Amino acid sequence: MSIGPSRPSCDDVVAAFTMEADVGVETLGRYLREYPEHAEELLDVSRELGRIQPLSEAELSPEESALVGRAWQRHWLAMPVGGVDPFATLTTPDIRRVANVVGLPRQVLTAFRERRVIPTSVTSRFLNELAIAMGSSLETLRVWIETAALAPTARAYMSEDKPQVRDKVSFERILIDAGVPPEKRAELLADDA
Amino acid sequence: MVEPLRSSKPSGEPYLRRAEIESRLVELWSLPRDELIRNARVRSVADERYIPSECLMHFVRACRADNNDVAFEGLYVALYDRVLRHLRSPESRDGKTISLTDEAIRDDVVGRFEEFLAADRTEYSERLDYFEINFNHAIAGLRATARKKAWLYAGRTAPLEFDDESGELSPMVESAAADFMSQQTSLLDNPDYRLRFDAAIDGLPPLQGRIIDMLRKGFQLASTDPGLLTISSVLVKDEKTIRKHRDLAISSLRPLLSEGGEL
Repeated sequence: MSIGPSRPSCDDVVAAFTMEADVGVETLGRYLREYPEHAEELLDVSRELGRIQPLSEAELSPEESALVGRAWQRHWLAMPVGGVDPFATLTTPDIRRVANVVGLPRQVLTAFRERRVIPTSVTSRFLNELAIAMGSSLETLRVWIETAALAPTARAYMSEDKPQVRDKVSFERILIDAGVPPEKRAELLADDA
Repeated sequence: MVEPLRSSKPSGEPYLRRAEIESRLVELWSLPRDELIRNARVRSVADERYIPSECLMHFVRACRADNNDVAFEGLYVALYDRVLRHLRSPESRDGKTISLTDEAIRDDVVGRFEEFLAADRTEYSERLDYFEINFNHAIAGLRATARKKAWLYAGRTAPLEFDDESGELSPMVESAAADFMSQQTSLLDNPDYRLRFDAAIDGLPPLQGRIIDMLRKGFQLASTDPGLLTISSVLVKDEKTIRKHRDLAISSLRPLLSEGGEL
């Protein structure tokens, strides 16, 4: 917002007018006198403000529901999910080192990187060990694997687009698929003490 | 205390939420998240659980720092629902008359609203402060811009031709114009007629629309008093031009607003 000698922008002036408690003719007149260079925009928004109707309480139409669903998908796909990516700065040698430290095949780390593991199937003890090996924190790693689970589903929004569903699997399944021996699996899956 | 808004008015004074919104936010922050999300879906204003749109906006923005997608989705969807219900549903047009495309307006408004939300997700966007102050008015602001764009791109009837001699002061024309506007003013108390009138104005070229709207608000065409705000001084056009376009507007509006007239 501009103050002092420079003139405020049209957007700022129109916004200020729309935010007035009273947007009647007297207030309009005041703004038209003070900001004549923005007269047309002020008149147009004044007319629009006069058209405000009570908010409809009716259910959204199927088309509107679909709009909501698509909007959410766009928003979800665009937003920076999971906070900080704890894997972002790890190079291939780093991944190799971390895998050695925790004593697991790299494909297990890949599952965590791709957030394919069901968060509740992993003990805090292991998550903490992995986070330390990665030079990250338990909280950062937990947030990473907890967010952006399944891609948004159609649910009630009658979405026209087929969302891409990413299935999460249990930590145990990931270990089995990676060929981790049963004894090691049992140790990793033991309840937190 | 609820995090204050960061934007300021052209005067430099900070924008503040309305008192009733501030106090409602304090109450809502004490609610369990699940209950907040459930209440966000309540549509009836009369329901005590109803959450004002300004508050929904606030919580959607507050989720910026929160990675709980389920909560954010619930609030985002409820907020989007409100935006859509503020915007009229598209109606089919017969193509015979000038008409602004409600669908184009709706799509433009929601598109811009989505952009603002997306931008705010990564970094605080002062533009969204307005939606926490007065959500209805902020949407109206977006709608005004969208309506202008839609008019530019909508199909139009052939340009009305006018005699270069029109716009001359004629007592009969002035009297007819005054009668027309006086009649409109009394009819506009009827909400259905108001919708019809607004739709008819929508079809006018912007200058004519502004003239009619200013007449309806009680502005004079022109005056010798330099201190008086008139249609001529505000729109920076001479009186003859204003009168000419007023007459053209009324010529267009009469058949549309008469009994049986089709918009």
